[in-house]
Amino acid sequence: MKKTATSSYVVIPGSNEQQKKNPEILRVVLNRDFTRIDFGYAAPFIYEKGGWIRIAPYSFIVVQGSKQRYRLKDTWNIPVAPEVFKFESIKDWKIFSLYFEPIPVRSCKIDIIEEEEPNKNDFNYYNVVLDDVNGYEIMD
Amino acid sequence: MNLSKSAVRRYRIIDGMLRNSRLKYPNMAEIINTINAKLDFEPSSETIQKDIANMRLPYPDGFDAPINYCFRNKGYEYTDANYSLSGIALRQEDLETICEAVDLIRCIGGSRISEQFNHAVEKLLAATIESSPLKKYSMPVLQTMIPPTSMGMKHFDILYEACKERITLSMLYFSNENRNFMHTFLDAFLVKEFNNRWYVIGYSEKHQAIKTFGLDRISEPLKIKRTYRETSPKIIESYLHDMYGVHPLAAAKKETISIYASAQMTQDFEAYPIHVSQVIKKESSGAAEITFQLIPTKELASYFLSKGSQLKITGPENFINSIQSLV
Repeated sequence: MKKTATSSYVVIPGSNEQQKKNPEILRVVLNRDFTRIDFGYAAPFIYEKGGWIRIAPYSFIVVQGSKQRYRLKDTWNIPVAPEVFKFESIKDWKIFSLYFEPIPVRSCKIDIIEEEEPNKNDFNYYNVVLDDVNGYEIMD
Repeated sequence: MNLSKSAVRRYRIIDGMLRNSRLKYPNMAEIINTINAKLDFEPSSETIQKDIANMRLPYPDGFDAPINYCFRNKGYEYTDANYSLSGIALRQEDLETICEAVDLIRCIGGSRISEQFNHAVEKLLAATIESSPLKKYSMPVLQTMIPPTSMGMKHFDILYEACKERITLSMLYFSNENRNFMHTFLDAFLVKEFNNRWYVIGYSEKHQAIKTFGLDRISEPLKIKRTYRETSPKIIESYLHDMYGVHPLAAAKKETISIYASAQMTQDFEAYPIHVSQVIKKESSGAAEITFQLIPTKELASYFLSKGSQLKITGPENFINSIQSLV
């Protein structure tokens, strides 16, 4: 099939312990305009009502081997700090997306950084493997 | 020709008048009065003359309308009695039938029917019934249980399209049972409703098997350009006709399922059969042995279990064992 500069691609990150944490990285969408990362978050039982989530506005992606930071541009289904989304129970769940500046559409490893000095509540992911980036083109 | 909305609406009213077999040959004053009554706007006779001229223009500039002024009857007419602006000549009875059918579909479909269907119905109504007095609101005289729109219905159209056009989907899913997330590529072949819940069924690459997914737990399906994996028509048929529910038990196949039902329960099955294959062999007490030709499903097991002591599953053995493991 013909690939175009405006094509979008679905990439399923390679298996990695980092991605299996909560929130879990489920899918990455790459194109010329943005890099979208879809996450799934199951409210943990350690908090009475499932706790809360949010994302820091200064979150970014780094492609390993480069120092360039690809900043967070937009979100879907998750508030940007200082706002938070509060779960109502430990059975709640949520899928959300983070939109970053577009990284190059090529096989690579990325780090997704919310805090450069993270604590246990921050979303930091390292060595997320993006392979076969042109394998699954999204239809218009 | 740039048709303003009000012009199109006038054309429809004129069309309706020219097709009205009870009030033939409407004249200019009658057309103006009717448009005034229906659109709350009094067009000039020049406007109507232009409208008629536009309607007469050949397609695509106009509508090829065979409008003639009949000097003998002092009014306008269609020289082709079968002509209609919408391409379909509808009589009053046709309109009434369509209105009743649309009401029925809306009643049955309720919030569960797709946006596309709603748009199509709106178009149909706009094209054929706009000028009809039938459009007036009336209280329904038929009602089915219509639950509020459930989670996941926003994906109905894309899932339906994927099944119809044979398009692979990239799909995110949350399993309530296992409390985990997953991504799969789904080659869906059926969107199915059961007990007011909607499901999509197809070949899941993640599971390497045909799986059923509740629409309420699907997120962000994306259509993917890749070769769709066809499912055998025989399997699709089995999901269409041989299941009560949507979740077949592991390694289940179509077989004779038999139960022994109390007299009260038997009356229920007589009144509300659960499958076309249902056969009742009644005893003099009113109790009965009831058989079904079905693929055992979780929903069938749950239904039988919900009847408590009113019903006993008598076969086959593997179904009985499966149910015991579900309890």
